[in-house]
Amino acid sequence: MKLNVIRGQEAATCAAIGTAGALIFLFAFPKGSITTLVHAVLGLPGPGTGIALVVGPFLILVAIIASLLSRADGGALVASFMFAVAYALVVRLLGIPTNPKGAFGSGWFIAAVVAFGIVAEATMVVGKAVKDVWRCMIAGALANAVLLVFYWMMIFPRTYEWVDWSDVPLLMGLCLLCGLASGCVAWGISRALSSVFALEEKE
Amino acid sequence: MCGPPDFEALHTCVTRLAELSAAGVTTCSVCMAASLCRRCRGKRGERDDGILCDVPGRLAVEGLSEQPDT
Repeated sequence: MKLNVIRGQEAATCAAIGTAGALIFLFAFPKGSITTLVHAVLGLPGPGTGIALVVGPFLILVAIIASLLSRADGGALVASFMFAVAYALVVRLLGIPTNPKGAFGSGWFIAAVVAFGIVAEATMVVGKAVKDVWRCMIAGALANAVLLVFYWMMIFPRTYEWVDWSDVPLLMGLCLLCGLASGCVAWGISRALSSVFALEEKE
Repeated sequence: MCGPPDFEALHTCVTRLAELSAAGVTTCSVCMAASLCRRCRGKRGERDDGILCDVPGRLAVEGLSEQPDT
């Protein structure tokens, strides 16, 4: 398998996408909104529902769009890493309040997002033989599952509590479904964006 | 669940997501429309140039075809 490793301009594009994603996430999801949505409105058990239903799918959008637009290996990882770093920096510099349960902006958060990025990237590289939309969906589901398991094993036991074993099948099922759906949406958005860029390039 | 539900935050979240979606869709539509417009204008310009280039040739052909009648 021949690798088309990401280079200067492509890496900068992916980093910009990751940073923009972090800023949009901070703007769109103020403290308490995700917890209220998943527990008070949807009535789902926790911990990890917010990660599986909101944080993970949003990260999938950022990572997969960056990977597909750059068309280079490493795009998803660079975008994920920059998302985590930009999020941590903005939260610390501007003193934006976040939910302590999710440890957003901490070293553990960066580690979780990097693990997510590695899995997303590996799936995108390994699955090149598969049709693009399926590759994005599988990458989304696997990366979302890894993010959730990382949170369950490494973060929630420190910040909140261990997940109840009886909730694991439901949460993991939702996590995989949301990952698949988000991967599909990311593929659709990147197709629309690349058609706009292709028109610009033709001119 | 940790802490009481914050419906104010959820309302803000939904409003901001709607605003972001609207802004994204509008920007994308404007970009696509502008690109298509420029492309169409470019094609029309090429076609006009082509017609002008063909004019002397076509006149010559018409002239030849009209000669036998006169």
